[in-house]
Amino acid sequence: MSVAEQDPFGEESVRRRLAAFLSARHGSDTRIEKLKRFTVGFSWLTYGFEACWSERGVEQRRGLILRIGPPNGIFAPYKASLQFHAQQVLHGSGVPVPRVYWHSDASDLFDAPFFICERVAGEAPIPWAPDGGEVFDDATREQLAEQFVGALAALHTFEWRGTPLEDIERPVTAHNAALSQIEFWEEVTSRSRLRPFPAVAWALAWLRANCPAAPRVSIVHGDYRIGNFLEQDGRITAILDWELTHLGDPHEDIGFIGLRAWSGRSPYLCQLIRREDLYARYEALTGIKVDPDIVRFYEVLNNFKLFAIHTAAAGCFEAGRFNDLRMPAMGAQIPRILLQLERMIEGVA
Amino acid sequence: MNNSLARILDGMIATLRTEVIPRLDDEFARGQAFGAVDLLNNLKPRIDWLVTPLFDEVRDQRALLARLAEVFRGTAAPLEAAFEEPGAGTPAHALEQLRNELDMKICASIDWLARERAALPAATVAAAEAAIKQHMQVQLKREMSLTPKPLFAEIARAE
Repeated sequence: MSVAEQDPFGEESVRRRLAAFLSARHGSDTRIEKLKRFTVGFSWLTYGFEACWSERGVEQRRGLILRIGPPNGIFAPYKASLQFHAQQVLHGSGVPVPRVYWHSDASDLFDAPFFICERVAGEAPIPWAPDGGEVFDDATREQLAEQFVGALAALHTFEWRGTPLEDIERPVTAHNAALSQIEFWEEVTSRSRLRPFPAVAWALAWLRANCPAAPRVSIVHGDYRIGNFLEQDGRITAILDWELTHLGDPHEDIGFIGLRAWSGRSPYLCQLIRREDLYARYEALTGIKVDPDIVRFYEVLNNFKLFAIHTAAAGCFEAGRFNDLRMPAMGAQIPRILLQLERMIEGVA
Repeated sequence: MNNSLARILDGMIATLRTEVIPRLDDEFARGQAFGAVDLLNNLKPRIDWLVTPLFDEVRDQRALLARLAEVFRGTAAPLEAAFEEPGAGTPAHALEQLRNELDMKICASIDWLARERAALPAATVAAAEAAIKQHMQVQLKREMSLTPKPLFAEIARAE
């Protein structure tokens, strides 16, 4: 057996397991074609493929995405159920999400939790233009901004009570929403066992002393930004990466959109919309009054979250769980995040 | 940097061998990549982190802890006696360890201040906060002076 075949997440191994799994589901031999592992992301492994099978003598073909949460990933151990159910309940709402088909939190099939969803057409624009300037022309930006805010408004006003998310998520109230996120990301940071940083102790003390109450408890995407949606001809075809979704304060997503990491030198948050226009459009669509002080709190918290993610990547690499050189490269940028964090706290203190 | 030098070098060698070289179709490019592996193998036993920024860091940490001991005198703050200055020939790994220990002490002082600030005189809190903020700013600026602009666009686009 070759090295490639021994790797449980190598293409040949995944192809074989996918074919067996889908053949059983379709009740018909299923071929896996055009299988490709995408290089994006540091956490879940993502594969695109076409499943081909026969149904009552008619050839069927469907483009699908397989996502696997590997045991050595930066946020392992993973569960697929949360993002699967989030996408399942949101399908058909005002939030464009890929249709989900199958999932498992067990590790019997792919040696790790997984889910399979439809493959949606489109490209994921990234926030960094080669010349450091704007990513979109004016017309495209306006079009995408409207949909970007519209989907966020639909997400935050979605009635999650009575859906599977109510049972899967930890109990979150308007009063513990902020603290539960601080504790979650503090735990992620402590697992990476890198060096201590006074700027982080300072930020945590500030965050704990300034936790706001949420105006309501909503489904929060947790990673809502440019780079995590697909776009085709000026249309957002899908909001992606629901790995960090949870119940919480809707200001959290707004505070994530506002991070400088996604806008660079552009005056447009996430290269899409000016801050005042985001607030006005969001308020008009949701009826939720945006509190700038709470947004600023969540910008600090989200910057701490970026620190935690970068630390987790560097820690994962240090422990030898991956040789992906993008991980220590992320770790090398930690001072930049901490400087931003310190300046944000100074700006709002 | 936030990974050890040995691990970074090992990771670079492993990535070149298992992920890059097998995907290079060009003979000359493969030869260059093997040359890079060979050089990294030679560098491994010979290099270490630069000690000058570490000495500067430890000097500033000791100064801050001494200042906090002065500000917090008469309180129950978790501060120990002054730490000895590292000798001129102290190697980088020992300096890194000392830096981390001193940062841990500073973090403990920040945590203590956050818990006790309501019970402390306002002037004590203000003096401690000013010293900590100034230290953090100097520390982060020093780190930034060693941190080049990231290649996020190139990494994301792979071009």
